[in-house]
Amino acid sequence: MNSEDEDKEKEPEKKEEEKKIHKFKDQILDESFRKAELSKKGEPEKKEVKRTIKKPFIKIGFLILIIAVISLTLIYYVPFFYINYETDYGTIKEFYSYTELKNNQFESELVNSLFESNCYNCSDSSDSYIGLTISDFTDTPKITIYILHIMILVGFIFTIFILVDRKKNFSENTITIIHSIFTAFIILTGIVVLLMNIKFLDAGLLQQMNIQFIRALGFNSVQLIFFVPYILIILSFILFIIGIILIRLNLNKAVSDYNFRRSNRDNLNYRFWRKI
Amino acid sequence: MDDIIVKQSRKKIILILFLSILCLILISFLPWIAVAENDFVKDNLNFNYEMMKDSSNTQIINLVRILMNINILFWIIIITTLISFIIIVCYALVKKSLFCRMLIISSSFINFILCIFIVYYQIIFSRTISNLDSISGSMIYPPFAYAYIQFILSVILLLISGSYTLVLIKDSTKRLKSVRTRKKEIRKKMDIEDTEVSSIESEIEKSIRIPDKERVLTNSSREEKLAEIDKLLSKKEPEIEKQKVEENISEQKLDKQSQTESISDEEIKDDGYKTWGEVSKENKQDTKEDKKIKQPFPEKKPKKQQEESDEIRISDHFEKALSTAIEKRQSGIKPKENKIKISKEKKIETPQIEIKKDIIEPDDQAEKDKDEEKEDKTSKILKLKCPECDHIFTFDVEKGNKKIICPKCGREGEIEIEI
Repeated sequence: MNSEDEDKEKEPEKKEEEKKIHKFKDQILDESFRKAELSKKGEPEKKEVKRTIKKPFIKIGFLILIIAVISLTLIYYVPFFYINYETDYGTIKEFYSYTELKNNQFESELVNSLFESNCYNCSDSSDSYIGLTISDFTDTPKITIYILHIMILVGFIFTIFILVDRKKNFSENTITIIHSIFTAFIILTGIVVLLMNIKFLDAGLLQQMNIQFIRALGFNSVQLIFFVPYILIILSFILFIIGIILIRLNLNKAVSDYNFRRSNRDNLNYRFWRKI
Repeated sequence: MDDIIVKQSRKKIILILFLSILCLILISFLPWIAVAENDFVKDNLNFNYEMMKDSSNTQIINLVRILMNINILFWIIIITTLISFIIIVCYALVKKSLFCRMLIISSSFINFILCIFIVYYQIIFSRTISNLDSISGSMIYPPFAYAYIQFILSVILLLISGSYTLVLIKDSTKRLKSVRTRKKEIRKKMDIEDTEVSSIESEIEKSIRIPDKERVLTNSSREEKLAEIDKLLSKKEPEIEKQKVEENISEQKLDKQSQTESISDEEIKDDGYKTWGEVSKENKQDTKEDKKIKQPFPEKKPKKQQEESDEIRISDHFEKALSTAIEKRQSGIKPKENKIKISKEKKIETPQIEIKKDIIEPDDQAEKDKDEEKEDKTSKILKLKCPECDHIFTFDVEKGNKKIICPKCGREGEIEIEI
């Protein structure tokens, strides 16, 4: 009796076990079938998830456009230079803008003599003692305005090119080559503007060195501040530095691409100063 | 160009550009000369570049000309370096042509020559000043003039441009030499090959072109010459045989790959266990395949037939692999059933050992006897792991006791061995 009871108790357990065994068999059959299929057809090709990376918008053209516009507005609306001189009659402060200087004349003769000396006994070698003539006040802003107009044009063309690149998707090599040509242009314009305006900065140094000759003209003391040229010097210096950085970046890119494959990771991070 | 040279050129271009621009700024910024005035004001009047240009003094005008030359030279240096920068970028990214390389070298060489001229003009400038009585160089501190700053910078520029040109020229000469040597080697190889081929061909031609008088000779002489031609042709035969063997090996490799794929699947399904029979069969197959490879001239079959046979083979392999996998898995289910039982009854689990005995071949009897002995040993003494305390202990099967007691925790269990 006991053995029969035990058998009855064990029957459901056995059925469960059999079910499990059947499941196990099915699993094994499926696995073996899958493996056999794989051996016949080969492994299925894994679909690579395509990573879409947005092209970095090169803002240098836009930056140059802004710099050129700012410097143009400065030339037209900010007083070109400020003079504070002291004579026997008192101290005088004067502001001269570019529009006033276009007429080639200063209001006071004394200020005029600073750039075209009336003192014939002072020196036979030179008429100006600070390295500036009256024509410098008209010619230099004129040339700088022309250069700034060219800069605006080129900056605009470059920004349009970058916008077109977003749609047409040029190769990276062509972009870097055009970018390098553009940087060469930036450096050239920057140097020209810098050299045109550096004489205004130099005037301060010569004023200190040739103070005896300036005093002979009737000035007890003179203070000259050339607002626009100083700002233009700073802006052109910034342009020059940006140009050097861009040259470095372009050359780095060229060196990294020379005989090497670039990883996709380089395109992922974008910082303003890294890829201007 | 090498990578190192491209990197060096990157550094040097930036340096040359920076220094030349700095020098250009300094030319228009520095006071160059001081003229002693003795009229109303008795002092030295300092002149910068702009002042010198506007001056009416002939001596100063002569000096300005030198400075203007220097200024123009610096501008040319800047432009050439900018052009070389663009060329290097193009060279590195797009065109690695000889023309680009020549342009880079020539631009660097031009820069170097211009730097020499700049230094030369500066020396002339200082000499002309020293020859003049009323004019002297404007000084920062009495012995040290402002012009020296420019001179030092231009000398540095000269050194940098010189080193840059030297590096480029060295690299280009190395390249040229290597190209020449390569060309020579290739020519030599070509000549050797040509001579070998031409010698064999000429010999054959000589043998074929029998003079008319000799043709009249008896059949025996002709037979001899034909034998000679056969000999010469036999020289070429090993090469042809080699080619044929290589082709056969490649075909056999492809067949092997398909076979090995199916075999590898079976091996995976076996979980690392192999019977003696299977191993011996595999060995036999390998030996047969090796023999096949060693045969230099297997029978050639038409391609279409081969392709059909391949398809049949693959399908056969597939069916075989499937059937064997199913059979083996079904056979392997039994011990797993036992496992489930043991886990339910909470008894000590034992490592399952499958030992299948197959026919032992007479060739490897000595080795297989040794293996049998090893199998016996493993079957007698087993290493067991207690599921409760993870204690590993040995157990002798020969004693006949199926019940096992863990020496550490005292848990009871049973052992099941399939033979």
